[in-house]
This record gives sequence, C-alpha cells and structure tokens, in this order.
Amino acid sequence: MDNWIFLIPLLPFLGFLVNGLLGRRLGDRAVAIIGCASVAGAFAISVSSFLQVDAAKPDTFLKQDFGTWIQAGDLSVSFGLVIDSLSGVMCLVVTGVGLLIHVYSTGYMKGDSGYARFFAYLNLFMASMLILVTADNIVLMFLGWEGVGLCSYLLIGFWYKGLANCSAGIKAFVVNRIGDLGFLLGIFAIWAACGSFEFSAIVEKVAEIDSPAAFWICLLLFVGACGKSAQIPLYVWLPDAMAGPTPVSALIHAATMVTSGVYLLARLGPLFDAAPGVLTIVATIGALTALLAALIAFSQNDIKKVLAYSTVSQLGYMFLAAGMGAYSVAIFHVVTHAFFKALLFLGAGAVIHSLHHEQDMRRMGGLRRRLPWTFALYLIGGLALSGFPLTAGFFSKDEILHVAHSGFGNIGPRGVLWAIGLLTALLTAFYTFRQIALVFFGSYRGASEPQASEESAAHGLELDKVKESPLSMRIPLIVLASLSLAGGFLAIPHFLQPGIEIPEDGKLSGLIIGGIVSITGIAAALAIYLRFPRALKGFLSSAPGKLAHRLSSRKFYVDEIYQKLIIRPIGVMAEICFYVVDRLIIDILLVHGSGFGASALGHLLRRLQDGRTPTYAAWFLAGAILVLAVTLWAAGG
Amino acid sequence: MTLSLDLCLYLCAAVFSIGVYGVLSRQNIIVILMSLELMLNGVNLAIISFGRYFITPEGSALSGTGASSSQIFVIIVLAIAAAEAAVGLAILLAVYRRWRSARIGNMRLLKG
Repeated sequence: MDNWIFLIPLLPFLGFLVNGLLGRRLGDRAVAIIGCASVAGAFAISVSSFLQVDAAKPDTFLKQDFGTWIQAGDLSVSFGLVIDSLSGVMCLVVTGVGLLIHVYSTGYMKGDSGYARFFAYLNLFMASMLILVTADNIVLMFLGWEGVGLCSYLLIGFWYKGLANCSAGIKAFVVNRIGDLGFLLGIFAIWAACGSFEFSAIVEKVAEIDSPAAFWICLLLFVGACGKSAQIPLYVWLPDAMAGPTPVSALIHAATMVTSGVYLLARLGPLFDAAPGVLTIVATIGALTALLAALIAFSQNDIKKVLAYSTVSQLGYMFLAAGMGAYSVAIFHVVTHAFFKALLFLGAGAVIHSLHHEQDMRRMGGLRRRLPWTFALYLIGGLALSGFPLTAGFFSKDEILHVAHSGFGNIGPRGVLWAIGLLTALLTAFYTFRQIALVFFGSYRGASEPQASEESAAHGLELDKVKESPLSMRIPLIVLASLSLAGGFLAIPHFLQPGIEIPEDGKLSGLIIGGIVSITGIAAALAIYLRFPRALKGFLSSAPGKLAHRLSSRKFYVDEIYQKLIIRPIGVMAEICFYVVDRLIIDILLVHGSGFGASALGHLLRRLQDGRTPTYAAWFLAGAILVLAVTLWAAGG
Repeated sequence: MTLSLDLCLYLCAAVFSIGVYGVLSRQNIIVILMSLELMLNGVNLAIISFGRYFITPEGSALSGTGASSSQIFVIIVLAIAAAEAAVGLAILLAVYRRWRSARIGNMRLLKG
C-alpha cells in the first residue's frame, strides 16, 4: 500500500460506529472530539493525497483496489477508490467544509438530547459522501449516493417529534427515489452498452456507444442528478429539507450532497459530450431552475427558505455550466458555492441560535448592533453569493456566464440561456440583500410583532437579550468567510480540464457586466427595503404587484400542482388497492373466508358426533355396506 | 337331502342381520352384547359352510390346505369372542356402577 486513501471514507465511518454504538455512554465532549477528529483525519489524508496528485502530471491519480465486491456471471464490480484531480478537489471540499461544520455543530447542538445521534449521522454522511466522490466505478458511487440520501432523510427528520420534520424527510426521500430510479436504470444501460462499470473504462469506450444509446444513458443519469441536485422538476424536496438542524442544511443541503449530481456529470463528462441532445436539456433545465428558484426566493419569509431556494438556483447555474460541457467550470462553482453557502447557512444558524430558534425574518431586524460578528460574516457570504466583484461567487458565476456567452460547446439556445443567467444574477443579488436588510438593518421587530406564523416556536425576545453565539460557532464562520473572499482566485477550471479552451475575448467585459449587475441588485434591494419601504408597499398593493407576490410566495403553486396531478391519483390508486385488494380479497375472502369456511364445516360435521353408540354403529354399518357395494361393483357383479 | 351352500349362506345372512338389528336397535347393553355374539356366530357358520363345500379331505380345491383349516378358524373366532365378551361384561359392570343402569342411551360422553 503506497497510499492511505482508503482511510478517507473509513475514518468517518469508524466515527459513526463509535458514536452510534457508544455515544450515549461516552458523553457529549468525547462524542464531539471523535466526530471532529475523524473528519479532520480524513481531511488531512485528502490534503496529502491531493498534493501527490498535484505534484505529478495532471492526469495521474491515486488508486486503491480492494478486490471484487459483487460477482455474478460475467458481471463484476470491484471495490476501488480513486483520487484524481476531480475527486481530489471534491474530497477537499467535502472534508474541509465538513470539518468546519462539525466544529460548528459542537456549539450549535450543545445540550440537544440527540447529540451523539447527530454526530453519528453526520459521520455516516461524511463516509457515504466520500465513497460517492472517490468511487472508481458507478455502482460503488451508487452505494455512496444512496448512503447520502439515507443520511439526508435521517437528518431532516432529526427532530422527529415534529410531524412537519418527519414528512419533510419522507418527501426528500421519496423525491430522491424517483431520481435514483433513473440513475439505476442509467447504470443498467451503461452495463448493456459498455459491459463495464469503471469510470475509466466507460470513458474509453465512449466512441463505441451509438448515439441513441448515449442519449438515453445520459438522460437517465441526468434524471438521477436532478433528484439529488434539486433541479426542475424534482427540486421540491430541498426547501422542505430545511426542517433539519441548520448545520445539516449547510453541509448536506447546500455544500456537498446536492452537488453530487454535478459531480456525476463531471465524472462522466466525455460520455455526456457524446450526447449533445442531453446537454441541451441539462443546460436548459439548469437555467430555468436558476430563474424559477430565484423568483421564489424573493418573497420567502423564513431565513432558511430563502437560502434553500438560493441553493436550488445556484445548482441551476452549475447545471447550466455542465450543460455547456464546461464541467470544470461547474465544479468551480460547486467549490465556491460550498464556501459561501455554507457560510450563509451557518450564519443564519447563528442568528437562529441567538434568537432562540426564531426563523421568521418578519420578527428580526436591526440585529447588526447586537450581532456584529455574525453580521460582518453574513455580509461577506451575501456579497459572495451576489457575485460582488472580487469575491468567490463573482469569479465562478461570471465564468459560467462567460462560458454561456462565448460559444464554448455547441449548445443551441445560447443567447437565451445567457440572458436568463444574467437576469438570475440580478435577482440573486436582490433577494440576498433583501434578506440582509430584513435581518440586520431596520429596527428590531421580534419583541413587538405578534406571532407571525404558527411554525415559529419562539416567543417575543427582547433585543438586549440577544447574544452572540459561542466561539466554536464563530471560528468556522471566519474560515469560511476568508475562503468566500479568496476562493475565486483558485484556477480550478484549468486545473481540472487542462485542455479546456475557453475563448478569452469578452471575458473582461463579462466580468464588468457581472459586477455591474451584482452591484445594481444589491443597491436596489438596500434602497427599496431601507429607504423606500412605502414604494414597496405601494407596489405590493397594486394588482400586478399582488399577483407577482402571490405567485412567488406560493412558489408558483408547484407543490399544489404536484399534489393534484401526481400525489392525489397515486393516493386514489392506493385507496383502491387498500379497499379492494387488501380489505376485500385478502382480509375478507382469504383470511376470514378460510377461517369461516373451516368453522362452518365443523359446525355441520359436529352433528354427526352425537355421542350415541348405536348411531356410530349405524354409520359403521352404512360404511361397510358402501365398501361392499363398491367392491362388488368393481368386481363386475 | 343335502343342504345346498346357498341355503346355508342364507341362514348365515339371517343370523348376522338379526345380530346387526339387535346391536343397532336395542338399548340394553346386555342384549347388545348378545346380538354381537349372534353376528359372530353368523360369520362362523359361513366359514364352516365354505369349508364343508369347497375343501375335500384331500385338500383345498383353491389353495391346497387341509380340511381342518376352516374349523380351526372358527375355534379361534370363538376364543376371541369369549375374550371380547369378558371385556364387554367388565365394561358393562363398570357402567352399571357408574349410572345404576345398563342402558346405552345414557352413555353420551363423546357428544361432539
């Protein structure tokens, strides 16, 4: 063994075992240390492995094979891990951001009765995610893919006493299952087309796959990616997933798990390149998702829901880039997004923590004086998300827009997609600073405003009782904030795709346009919400304003449409199955019917047993005569 | 005149049927036991008759057994009948002690 990459998923898995089996006896302090140390170890190994990849030529990689995992006929799946430049970058992000969020969680979850359970789930998630990222074949990747889905379900419903949390977890699981079905079918199709599951072998055999097969394989895989990465039409689970604890939202539903769809596309990039039709679909769906989610984010009142829709929107950007064939650019945005979105979620968590689990922005306001640290860090995250010049989001987002604009790849409606992307950038800046204005500026409304929604459990909290969160929660925020500021200077696209040729012309003007758009959005939001709130109220009370607000705040009625079109018919079918098949055929006919039949027959037959010996003797005689008659008849008499 | 086999068998059937009728119709256990003896003796008579008509002193026309084989069968049946009567009368005594009656209608413990 010349490398230690097997420890990358194994360490968090051991942490899961220890915390899950012994956590309650160890005590919270030991649980936190084990949870963080296992991830820190994985991070350290990731760094050292990554440096080995980096030091050599770009196409080198570290590989470890643990022999055959599944063997059936001529189907054979190995259990192999690989660290190349792509999975190396993902490993660094997953373990790095994961480590910061683990540290943050030690403060955020303090005193929770499920402390050990929480860290066990988080560690299991890290192990699954790292298997997903480092797997050298698609079946092993599917193992990790399902593992992260399971952990997502477990963590969304972590506070399992609330019905809403549980149903959000089930919703996430079921919607993901639809995508997973597509992914699984895609794996079968890959086996049929290539006869191999290993990524390297698939990529080598791309030329042999005919184009309809490539189209269907890629489409099915993209369905899987849609489910996991919350794209139209399967994005509905992600906003509901905010029911989980905030570190979970940051780690799973913003930074890592939801980007695994993008990772899948990047990993199988050459295969997708062979299916330009699918790439057009990917780019279109990405752009539409980006726009739709940004529009919905406008009118959300829950501080985490805004970030959730923003995540959906940013994932749309990533798919837009991937659809252009610029997978490395997509991964670049994955990385920067992981930094600033984790920062925003953790910052929102700090606000929620300080306000004793108040999430409604209508009951916040003016918090910048009481929470200066959180405010400053949140502002950095907001700037990065808005694409403010020189922050991380600025570079990665403009790289995407530039790719869309400059004629990279051969995607059809390029101009439209670019325009949608730019519009979304404007909207993103606007809703981000609407949020910052509502939470940190203005005057505090938490004590006076009556209970705004039934969901918010917190009662009016006086402003002077609002306190900054502990140091363990602040340090990860500071690290993430510096990464959000500096992360844009990483030259990830050129590192991942050394041969990538993005045209240079128009790059500078693209950056300038992006900057202007971002600053415009920020300024507009701050001006409207801080200086001219009356104009906003006027607009919202006018007819088009009312309509727009209604559409946005009701999320374009997508949940209602799904309810009517899909969930109701399935529910009716289930009722039919229940009443006809289960109740009538199985319960009444088979179960009760057989019992009733036997007992009715018994009632008839018991009359024969009257206890009188002469009756028995008479039956005996009748039987003897019968036997005699049959014997004679059979003898031909 | 010689008795034909048919006449003998009619007699057997009559004795056996009277026994069956007695077993089925009588209430008194003693009479039932007596009827049972009638049935056994009807069968005995049939065995003897077959022996007389089918088996010559030289051996059976059917299987070569000697003339005495049917008589031996009958003696075995008589012995078994004696044993059966002993057991039956013992049960009868026990029943009588229990119910102070020898009527079979009282014994309905096996009613389903």
